[in-house]
Amino acid sequence: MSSARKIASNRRNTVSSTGPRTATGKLRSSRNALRHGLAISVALDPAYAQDIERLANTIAGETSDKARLALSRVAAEAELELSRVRAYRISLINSELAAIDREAKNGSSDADTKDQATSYNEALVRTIDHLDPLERYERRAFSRRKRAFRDLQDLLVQDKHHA
Amino acid sequence: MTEQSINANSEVQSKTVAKPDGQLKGQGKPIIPESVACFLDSPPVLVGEDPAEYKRLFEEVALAIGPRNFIEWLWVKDVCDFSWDMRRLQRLKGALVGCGRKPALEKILHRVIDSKRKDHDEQVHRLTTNWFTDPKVKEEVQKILQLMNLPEECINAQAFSDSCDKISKFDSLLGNAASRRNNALKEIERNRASLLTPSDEKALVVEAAASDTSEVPPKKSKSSPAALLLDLH
Repeated sequence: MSSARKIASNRRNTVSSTGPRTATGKLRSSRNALRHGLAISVALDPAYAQDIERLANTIAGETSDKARLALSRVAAEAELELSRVRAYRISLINSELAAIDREAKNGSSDADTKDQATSYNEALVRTIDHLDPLERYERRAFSRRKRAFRDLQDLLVQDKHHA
Repeated sequence: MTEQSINANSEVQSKTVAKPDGQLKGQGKPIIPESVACFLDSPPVLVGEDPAEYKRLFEEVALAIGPRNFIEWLWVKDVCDFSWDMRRLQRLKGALVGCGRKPALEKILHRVIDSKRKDHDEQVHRLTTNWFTDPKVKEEVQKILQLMNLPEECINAQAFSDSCDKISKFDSLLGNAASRRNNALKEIERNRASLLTPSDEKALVVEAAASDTSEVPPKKSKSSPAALLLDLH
């Protein structure tokens, strides 16, 4: 488990070593959120507000403990971020599958080699360069959720030992 | 409720094991709480993949892990999702080279057939298109390759070489999915270990000491997430 010192050190390091540096790079990356929306946190999207509350209450269980509710909210946000990345990945590949299917029906590709496995493969191959960046969003959401769950569990253990 | 259905219910209950949070673990199928069942309404399957197969995998994973609270159910979903991804990626990685054989053959034929021939492009197209289905064309291609001292394996070799980049990306995606699935299993173990009270730990020590007297070494519990990891592999 990361210590507070390690976490602080990681935060200091990320300031100096990540992110675009040139004007072009910064402009390109500033438009990421507009392309697929994954860079915008679900917490800032009103469409997710109800889902976050509902999920947070389910995670927290029957409690009025503010600390527990706050951590549950963080975990709920991270869980919804994860679901969002996964849903986007599936829709990306499904769109490509539909495009391949259309091409086969229009005769603009060789239908004789288009069995299902070949179509899936082609769809994955076409989208694989777009799947790579999604790994980063998934990794971040996964990590955030793991930390929130661990903090929640530490709180539960503390409460159990004090009871 | 009839007497028969009441008796049937009792019979089912006597076969099941009550879990601390009230979830009953039935024989063969787990009882999935409503808050979790909604995840199965939109499974992460591609067009053409079977949602029922995904649900079966989810139930298998849930039965093996025996989640004790909602957070553990989320980890169960993770294990299931990543296992599903891994199965898909492994299947497709195997087919990747096969997919690349046609363009590979085209590339080779472009090089070996005399480019000064007027019908060079037509020949390449005809041979590439029909090589998969026409045994006579297959024989023709084999003779052309033999003239250049090339074995038929060169087609697979070219396909593999062209796909190297993609194969390594598939490997990277596979590695990520495996690593996250393992993390999910470790988190469940960690969570369960951290919730043990000092009296629970004492009871475990006593149990371990008692089992040391038996001749047969104790089997690793089937519900241990780590054991599940081995089974799923």
